[in-house]
Amino acid sequence: MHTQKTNTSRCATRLFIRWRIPYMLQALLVVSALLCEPFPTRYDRIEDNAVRSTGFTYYPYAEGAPGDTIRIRAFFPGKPVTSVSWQMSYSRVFNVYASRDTVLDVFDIDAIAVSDRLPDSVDITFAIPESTFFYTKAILQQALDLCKSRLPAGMRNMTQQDLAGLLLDFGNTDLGDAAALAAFLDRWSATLDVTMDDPALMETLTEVGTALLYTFSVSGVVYANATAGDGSRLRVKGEFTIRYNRRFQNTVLAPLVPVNRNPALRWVGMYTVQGSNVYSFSPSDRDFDGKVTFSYLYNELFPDSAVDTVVIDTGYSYFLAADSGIMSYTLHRGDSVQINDTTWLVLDHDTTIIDTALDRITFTNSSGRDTFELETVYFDWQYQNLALDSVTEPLDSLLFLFPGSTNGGGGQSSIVKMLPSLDPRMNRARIWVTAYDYLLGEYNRPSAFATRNVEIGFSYTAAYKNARQ
Amino acid sequence: MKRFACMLTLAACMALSGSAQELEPTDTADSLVEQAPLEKEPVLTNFVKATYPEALLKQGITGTVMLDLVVNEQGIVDSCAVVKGVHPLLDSAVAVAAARFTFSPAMAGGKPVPVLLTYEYRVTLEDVVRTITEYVNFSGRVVERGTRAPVPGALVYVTFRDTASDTTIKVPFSAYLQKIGTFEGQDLQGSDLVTTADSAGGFTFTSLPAGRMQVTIQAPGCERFVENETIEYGKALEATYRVQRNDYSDYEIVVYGKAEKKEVAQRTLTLNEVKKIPGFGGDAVKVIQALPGVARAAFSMGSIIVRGAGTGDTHFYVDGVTIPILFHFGGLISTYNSNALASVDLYPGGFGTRYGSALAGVVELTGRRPKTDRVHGYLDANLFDASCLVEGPISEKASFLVSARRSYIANMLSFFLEKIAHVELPFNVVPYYWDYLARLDYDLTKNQHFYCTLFGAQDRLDLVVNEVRGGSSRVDEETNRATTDISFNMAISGWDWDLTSRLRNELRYAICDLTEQSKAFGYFTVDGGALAHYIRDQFSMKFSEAFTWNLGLDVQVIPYDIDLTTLNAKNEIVRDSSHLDLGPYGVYTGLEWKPVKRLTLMPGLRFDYYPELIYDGSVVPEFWNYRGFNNNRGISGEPSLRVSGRYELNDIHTVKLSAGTYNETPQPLGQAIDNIWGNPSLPAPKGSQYVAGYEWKITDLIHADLQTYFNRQWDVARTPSSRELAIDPSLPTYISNGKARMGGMELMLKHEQGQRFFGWLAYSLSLSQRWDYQNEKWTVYTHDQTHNLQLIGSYKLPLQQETGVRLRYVTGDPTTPLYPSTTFNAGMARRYEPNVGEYNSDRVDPYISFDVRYEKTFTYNTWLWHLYVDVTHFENLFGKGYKSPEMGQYRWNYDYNYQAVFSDVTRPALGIRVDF
Repeated sequence: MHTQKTNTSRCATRLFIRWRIPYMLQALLVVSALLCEPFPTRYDRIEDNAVRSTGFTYYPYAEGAPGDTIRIRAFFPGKPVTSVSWQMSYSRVFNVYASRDTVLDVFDIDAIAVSDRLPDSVDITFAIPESTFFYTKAILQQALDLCKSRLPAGMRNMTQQDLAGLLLDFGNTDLGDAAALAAFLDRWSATLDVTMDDPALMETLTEVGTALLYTFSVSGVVYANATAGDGSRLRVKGEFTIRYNRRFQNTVLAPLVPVNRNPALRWVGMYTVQGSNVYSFSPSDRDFDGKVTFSYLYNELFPDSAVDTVVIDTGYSYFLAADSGIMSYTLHRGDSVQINDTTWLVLDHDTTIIDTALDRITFTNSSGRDTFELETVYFDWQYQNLALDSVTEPLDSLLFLFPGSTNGGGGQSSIVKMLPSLDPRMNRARIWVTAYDYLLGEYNRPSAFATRNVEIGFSYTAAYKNARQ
Repeated sequence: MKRFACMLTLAACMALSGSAQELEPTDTADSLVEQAPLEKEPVLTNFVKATYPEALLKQGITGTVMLDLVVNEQGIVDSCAVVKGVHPLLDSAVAVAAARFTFSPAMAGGKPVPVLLTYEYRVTLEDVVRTITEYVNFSGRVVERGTRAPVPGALVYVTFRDTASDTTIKVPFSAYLQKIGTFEGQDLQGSDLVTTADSAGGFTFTSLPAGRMQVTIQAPGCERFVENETIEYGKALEATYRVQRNDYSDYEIVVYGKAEKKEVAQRTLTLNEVKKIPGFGGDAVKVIQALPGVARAAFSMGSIIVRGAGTGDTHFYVDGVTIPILFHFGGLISTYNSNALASVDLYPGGFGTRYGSALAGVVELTGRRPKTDRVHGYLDANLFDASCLVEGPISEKASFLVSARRSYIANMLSFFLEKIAHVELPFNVVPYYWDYLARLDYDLTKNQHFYCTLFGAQDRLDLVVNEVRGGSSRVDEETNRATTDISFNMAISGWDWDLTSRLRNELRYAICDLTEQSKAFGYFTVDGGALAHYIRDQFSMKFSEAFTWNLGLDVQVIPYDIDLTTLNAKNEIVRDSSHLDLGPYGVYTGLEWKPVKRLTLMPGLRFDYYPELIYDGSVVPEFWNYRGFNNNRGISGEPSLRVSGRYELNDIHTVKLSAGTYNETPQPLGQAIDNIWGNPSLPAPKGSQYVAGYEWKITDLIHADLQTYFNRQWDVARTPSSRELAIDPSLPTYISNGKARMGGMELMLKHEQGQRFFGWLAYSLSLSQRWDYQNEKWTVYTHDQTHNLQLIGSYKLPLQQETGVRLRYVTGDPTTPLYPSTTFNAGMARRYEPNVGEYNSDRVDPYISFDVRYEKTFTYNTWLWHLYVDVTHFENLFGKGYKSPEMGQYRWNYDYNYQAVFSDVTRPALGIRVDF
């Protein structure tokens, strides 16, 4: 067991804290009182002596249907990676409390293509086996029994493979195409107990489709086994939902079978805030009016607006920020939208809402009042000190992103406080930000990811240098 | 005939007392024979008392006046001469009186003859003193200072400083004292009058002379008390004297009769014991953790893990009925006010059929009857809460006790963080608890006693994190808020009836309204509650001193409703509204049989029906898993057979044995058999216990108790392992083939409260294992603690001070080793995953702690003030060398390269308490 802890790190920690007292006082007390951690429990700082990963990004979606071709990009900052092997399982079993998962039948991915972008990242393209639902062990008998109890009588005796075959055929059928639908029914009408001229056709298909889509949905696991030149390894484990929902996006089932899209990191920037001890900052806070300047470090829409160097001066605090801008939802004419606690707005035309600040929208339409929950987007911030060796240099010579210093809670906010280095030699860093979404309550919902890195140059003013000497 | 003249010298004793005189028989005679021998001595036929001269009364002169009397042939005193005098006035008075004596004449030769007598007349004051009348002119009570408890048997001394102040006394003061010293209830010891206080502390003195006096009181266990008083002529003095006890720490001792020790493994704590033990804040229930057989709980919380069993395998009772929530916030402090308890009994194993639905042990709290001598009470305030209690008599037959407690943790936290540490937390947290207790006792008749206890508590925690985005508003609107609110109100009534000297019935009925509400950040909400009923009735028939039969009913009716909204493993919002009819319904019978004087046997049978379970129960009690025998043909319940015995080798040594079968409802209670989250078809877990013990009464104060045990459990609910799920992913959440075995040895070496010292050494050696279905072998239990040594001592210091220490050494909890991570979970978790070693194949470092307690008592006439400080982990004050791991897990850095223990900090509990 590896339990040793070096004296070096303890000394460095003390030194770091001593110099950072103006910034750290409150947080230190909180962290000390609540966590009492003698070492960092986060992995914000990426060092060059270990293989590191910021995770996966899935294209085109964070989910796929059997037969779909998907591409996964894995990022490997830190120690350069020389090779990556890929594995997958679509038999992941949870207990009911999700406190334990068992990954079964792990197999090597048969890649269609591998885009070697090493040492930083690698892309793999592969097809999800058509037979995934035939053999997955993640669909439990109880779930199958429950599913069949809701299906037409003719389907009660079908096996998992039979049902998966029906769903596969269903998913490959364009329900809007009468001929395709007729052909589908030719094959399954006896089982479904429905015909083309049956007025309950679509209702039956909807019921069967949603029941099968619900049951045949598994959380797969993707492994990227990265190896560095010196043989050190890191296994990156990602989650990937396999379900047919995408295939039904153009059918009557579309509203009932959601598909999760990747978030998009549209920009990354830096707020420079007057005051050296600003701990919590929000651009919408009126208290900061006139005290804030903003610089894009990356801007997808206006690349030229980005700067590559920021000035570090005394008397200022620095906050990194990112925007996903992926939240979108279309409301229709006549819907009422609650603007605030007392105001409702009746829309006179179809409206797409794009707003990352909203947690939910309450609206009314012809079917009554409902709450549409927007997904939550979390941000993981990591950083690399490019100018100095972050392994050997003392901590206060390095850039530091302060965990939990944000206005979003939990250190997973779109805004994070940056503590500049005390050492002017540290004039270049790379910031990694990963956005990932989350929506509670949707069955087997996949998490979608977006990762972006930006390089920042730091220019320290003379006053700053003098103050830190 | 020879003529002779007789002259007799007679010595006569005469008592002269004041105006009265008393004749005493002549005891000597000396005769002169001249002519014929004296045939008959003269006999005094008329005695005349000499009048004691008034002028001499105060002087109190007494003595013997020797006279020569010439008594003639007629028996008349012819002459009287003082041979030896005492005082001229007295001599004269005596002579005058003696001259009037008449005698029967002396005879010689058949004729009356004159004689010369020597007569001794004793002069006393007795007649004067006899006139002193009895009247009470000094009375009072002797009570303890502070507690006002009577001090029966106190000796009250009165010493008179001024012997001349009472001019009405005619006789000398010493004579007066001597006389009143003969009055009933008071004695003269030297120059002091002494009396003894009665059972109520009352005393009286009779006919004390007026004037100044010193009152001195001496009582066992109390300091000498001295007070100056003045008795005024014609007035009675009443006084209450408050004597200072040498030690007030035993004030709380309430002896309600020491029950005969019957169970093989019964350990009883009295209130005065628990208050002296550091680290528990005087909480009577948590002190159980200081006894052998009970595992150390993490962060000194309230988990009671008995003999390596699960936390749910031990059942808790108050007055024979189940208590819904034993501790505030899971272990902070017990919900039942410790000061209202008579005793706490721990049965770590081998308990009789009185108790059911417990595979491991039983803890029974016994409420006490209120004090009846006067109104008592206390106020207590410490860093966490404040409490009060008042009790006393209502009438001769009725008495009452009420108490209440309320915490102010949130206020203290807020004060320390914001005012002292100047920390602004990103969240608001408001925890508080309160509880109340009211008890009424009433003696229906001489043989029937009734009581009713109203008892309730609430725990509430409200946490609002300002910026957290939380889960779904479809689960809960407030996604930035976590709350838990648990409360209950309970009424326990008891009716004890001694029908005859041989028949006794004890009936308990309780009703409890329990509500539980919890929610957390839009991830789950739980609303649960029950209106539960508990009935216990035990009928005892004592056929003889050696044979008693008990028959009992032990029924719990708990209709529990729960509404749970949460996420399942597939990220779905699941709403679960369940109703459970929890039991059990138990009946039991047992014997207490002494076939020979020193042997006690207690066989018993019990049956528990579990209405919440649907399975085929056993027909015969199982001491092990009767696999080869089709025993499961009964209803959803289990029979139990338990036998225990004690044999007293002599007055010092006792051996004891027990064997029994036990069962309970599947744990976790309710959850294990839930339709969604559990498995409704689980059977009742079963177990057997075998205990052998030896007791040694080393001295009157020191005794040892050594026990060994071996326990087994089977049909225990458990979650399937990953290996099993890999084989059959359809396995339900809970399956019932869990099995466990535990064995060990426990030693309790206890020094009862002596003059100054009280303490014990508790040592447990144990091994608790579970069958690991992942690796197909026996694996140590998560809370297995091989060695658990506790040294507890309390010492009374001078000046009403008392200090206590508690030293613990406990083997570290088992842990599953984690190795540096080589896997990064890039899913939602976004964290490094450790490489996991074999389950529970390692242990954290040993746990060592040193707790201290100090109390100083200040006494006032009607109050007692206690200032106390109880410091847990006192050793941390002396450096940061060793940190005891509280949990069987380490804290790790992000990639599991560095580890640290979860350790506790030095926690002082400072408080003040006022008894009145």
